[in-house]
Amino acid sequence: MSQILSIARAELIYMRRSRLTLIAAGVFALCLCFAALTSAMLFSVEQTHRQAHQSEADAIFASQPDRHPHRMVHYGQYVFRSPAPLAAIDPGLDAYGGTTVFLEGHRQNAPMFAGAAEGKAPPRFGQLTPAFVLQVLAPLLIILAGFSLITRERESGTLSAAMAQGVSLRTLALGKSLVLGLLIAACLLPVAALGILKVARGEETAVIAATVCAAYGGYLLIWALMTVSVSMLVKRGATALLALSALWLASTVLAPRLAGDVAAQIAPLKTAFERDLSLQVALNSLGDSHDPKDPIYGPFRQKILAKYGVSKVEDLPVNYRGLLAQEGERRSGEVLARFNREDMDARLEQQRWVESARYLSPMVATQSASQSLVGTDLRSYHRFLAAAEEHRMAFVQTLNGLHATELDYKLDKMRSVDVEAAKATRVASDTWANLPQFSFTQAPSSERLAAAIPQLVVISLWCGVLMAVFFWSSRQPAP
Amino acid sequence: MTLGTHFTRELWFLWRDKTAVFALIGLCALSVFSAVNGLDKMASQRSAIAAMVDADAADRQTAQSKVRSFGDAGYYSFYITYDPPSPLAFAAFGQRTTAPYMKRVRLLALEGQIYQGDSPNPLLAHVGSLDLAFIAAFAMPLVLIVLLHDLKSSETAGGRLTLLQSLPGTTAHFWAARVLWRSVLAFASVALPFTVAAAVSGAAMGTVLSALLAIAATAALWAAVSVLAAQLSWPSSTIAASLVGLWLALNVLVPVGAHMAVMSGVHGPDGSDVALLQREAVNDAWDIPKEDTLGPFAALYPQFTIDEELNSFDWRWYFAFQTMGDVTASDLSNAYRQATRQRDNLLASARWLSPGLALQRHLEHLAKTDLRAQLAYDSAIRAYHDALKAFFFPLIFGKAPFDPAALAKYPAYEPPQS
Repeated sequence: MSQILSIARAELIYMRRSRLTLIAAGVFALCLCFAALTSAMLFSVEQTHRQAHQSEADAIFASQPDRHPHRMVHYGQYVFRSPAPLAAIDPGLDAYGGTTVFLEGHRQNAPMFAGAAEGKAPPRFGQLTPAFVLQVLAPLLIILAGFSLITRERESGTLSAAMAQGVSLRTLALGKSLVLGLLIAACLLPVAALGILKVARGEETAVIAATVCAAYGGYLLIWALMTVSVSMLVKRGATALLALSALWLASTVLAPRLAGDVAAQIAPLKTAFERDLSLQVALNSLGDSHDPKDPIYGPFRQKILAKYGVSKVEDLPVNYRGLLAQEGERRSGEVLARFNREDMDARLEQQRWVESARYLSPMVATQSASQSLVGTDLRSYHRFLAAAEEHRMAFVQTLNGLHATELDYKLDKMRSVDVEAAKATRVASDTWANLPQFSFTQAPSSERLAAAIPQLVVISLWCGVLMAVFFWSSRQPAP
Repeated sequence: MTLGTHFTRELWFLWRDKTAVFALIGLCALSVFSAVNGLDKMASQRSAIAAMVDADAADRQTAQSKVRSFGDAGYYSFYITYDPPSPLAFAAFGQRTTAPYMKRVRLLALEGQIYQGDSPNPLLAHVGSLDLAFIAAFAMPLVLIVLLHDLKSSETAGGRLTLLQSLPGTTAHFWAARVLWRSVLAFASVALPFTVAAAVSGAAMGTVLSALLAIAATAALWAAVSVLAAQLSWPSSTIAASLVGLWLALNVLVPVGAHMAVMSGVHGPDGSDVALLQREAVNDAWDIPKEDTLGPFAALYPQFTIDEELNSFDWRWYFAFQTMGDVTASDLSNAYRQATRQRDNLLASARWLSPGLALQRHLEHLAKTDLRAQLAYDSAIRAYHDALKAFFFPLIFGKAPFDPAALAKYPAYEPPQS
C-alpha cells in the first residue's frame, strides 16, 4: 500500500513538471468552470423567462371578460415547459423539444418553438455544459494525462529497473492510476457544487445529485482504466495515444450519431402529416358535438333522457349542449390518447435502438443515465406532453361542465341569432381564474432513478469489464 | 531516384503502415455509410412529400365536397406546402433533421399555423447524424493528424532519418511523396463517396466542385498544420497530442463557445409572444364592433370594402379579422425572425476561427439546409398564404354564387427557389 502511495506521489511530482499535462489540465479546468457557471446562469435566466411567460399567459386568460364557456374552450390556453432544475448540468433534449403548447378544445396542437429552430441549435458537438465537458472532453484529458504512464517507463528502460527492485507492474499501475483518480475527483467538483447548490435550495433531491456524480465518476473511471490498460499493453507511447484517441473518437463522437442514424433507418417515424390525416378520419367518425341533432350522438341523447326520466332535451334540468360537448370531448380525447401513445411508443422504440449502442460506447450509457436522472430525456419530454394533454382535458371539461350546469338550454340554442340570449348565456369573468391551473413538475426522483437504472447497470458492467482488463494487463510480463 | 519511384515506393510504405491503412479504411467506410444513409434519408423525404401531395389533394376534395359556400371552402380547405431536399442535401442535413419540411396551411391567420409542423424525435435531433459534412469537417482532419504527425519522428525512431538525409537530393522528393500520398488518400476517402453520391443525386456540377474545393482546402489546411508540427523536434506523442488539442480547440471549443455567446448575446421576442399577440387580436375581434375590424381591413384591401350591415356571423368579417390578426402580429413576427437570423449570423462569424465550422456551414449552404434555407421555406409559405388570400378573397367577397368548380383553380404552391 505504501508502495502504491509513494508511486502516486512520484507521478504527481512528475506531472507537475510536465508542461503539456499542466496546460491541458488548466484549459480543461477553465472549460469546466466556465461551462458550469455560464450554463447555470443561462438556464436560470431561461427558467425565469419561461415561468414569466406562463404567468403572463395565465393572467391574460384570467382577465377575459364574461363569456360563453365554449368560447373559452376555443380561446384556449398556452402552457410552457420549464427547464429541469439540473438542466444546467445536462440540458439533454431541451433545445430540441417545443417549449410551448397551445391547448384548445377538440384538437391537440403540436408543441412549438423548439430552440433549435430559432437559431439556438447547439453546435454538432453539443453545448457548453458540464455534461458536455464531462462526457466529451474529460476522457480526452484522462487519455492525455495517462497514455504514457507505463509506456514512458518502458521506453526509458525504468520499467525493468523498477521490476528488478521488486515493484510489480500491478503496484506500479495502481499507484499511477491513483493520480488519474485524483483527476477524476477534481473533474467532478463543479458538478457536485452545482448539485449541492440545487439540493440546498430544495430544487433537487440529494439522491439524484449524488447519483449523477456517481454516474460520471463511473464513466471517467472507465476511461482511466482503459487508458492505463492500453498504456500497459502497447510498447510505444505514440501507439497508446493513437489507439486511445481512436477509441475516444469511436465512443464519444461516432457511436451515438451512428446509433441515431441506424435508429432512424430501422424504426422510421410516420410524418406528422400522415398521422394527422388518419387522426382526422378517426375524429370525423365521432360526429359533431356542436350539433345536438347529430345522429351519431342519438344513443347518448337517449341515455341522458332515460337517466333523468324526461322525453325531450328541453325538459332536462341541465343544458344538453354542455353535456354533449363534454361527451364529444371525452370521445375525441380517447382517440387522441391512442394516437399519442402510438407516437410516444414510436419515439421510444427509436430511443431503444439508440441506447443499444451503450454496449459499444460507455458515453451512450452515461449520456442516457445523466439525462434520465436530471429529467431532460425523452421520457421527461413525453411527461410534459402528457401533462399538457391532461390539463387540456381538465380545463376544457370544466368549461363544458359550466356549459351544462350554468346555462339555460333554450337561451343557449338561440344565442347565435338573439343578442339578448347571447348576453344571458355568459359565465362571469371571475370564473376563469378558478379553472384548473397548469403545473408541470418533474417526475419524482424515485421514478427518474428507476429510469436510469438500466444505464447505471451498464456503466457498472463497463467498469467491471475494464477492471478485469486492467488486472489482466498488469500481470507480470515475461522477463 | 525519380519522383515517380518515390511515389510508387511510398504507396508500398503506406500499405505496410497498419495504423495509416486502418485510419484510411475507417474514414472511407464512414464516408460510404454516410453517403448511402444520406441518399436514403433524402429519398425517403422526397417520397414522403410526393405521397403527401397526393393525400393532401384527396383530403381537400373530401373536405370541399361538403362545403356550401366559398367561406366554408376557405375554412375547411387545407393546402400543403413543402421544402424538397436539394440534390446535395444528402451530404449536409443541417436544419432538415430538426425543422419541419412539410406544413399545411389554410386561409385562417397564418401566425396561428406557421409554427406548427412535423415535430421529429427530439432525441434523434439531439444525438445528431453522421452526415458527410460532419465526416469531412471533423473526422477527416483527425485522420490527417494520424497520418502526418509522425512524418519525421517515425523515421527517427526507425533509425532511418539520418540515412535518408545522407542520400543527396532525394529527401525533398521523399517527403513530398509521403505528404502528398497521405493527404490525397485522406481527401479521396471522403471526396470519392461524396462525388459518386452527388452524381447519383443529380447535383449541379458547380455546387459539387465548390464542395470538393472546400473539402480539399480543409484537407490541405490540416495536412499543412500536421506537417509543420511534425518538423518540431518533440516526441511524436507530444506532437500528436498538441495537434489533437488544436483540433479540439478550433473545431469543438470555438463553435461551442460561440453558441454560448449567441445564446446569451442576442435578445429578441420569443415565438410565443408572436403567437399570444396574434391570438389576442383574433379573439378580441369577436367582442368588438365589426366596423372596428372591417374599417382597417378596408384600408388595406379597398377592393373588399363592405358597405352593408352584416349578420351576427359572416365569413367576410371572419376572414377580415383573421387577416387583421396577422397584420397586428406582423411587426413582432418580423422581429422574431430577425433575431433568429441574427443568432445565425453571429454564429457564422465564428467560422473564421473554426475551419470545421466553416466547412460544415459551407456545405449546408450549398445543400440548402442551413437556417437561411429554413427561413426561405418560411417565406415560401408566407407567399403561398398570400396567394391563397388573393385567390379566395375575390370569391368570398364577390357577388358570384357558390360554384365548386371555381375551387379547382387554386394557386399552385411554389417551393423555395433551389
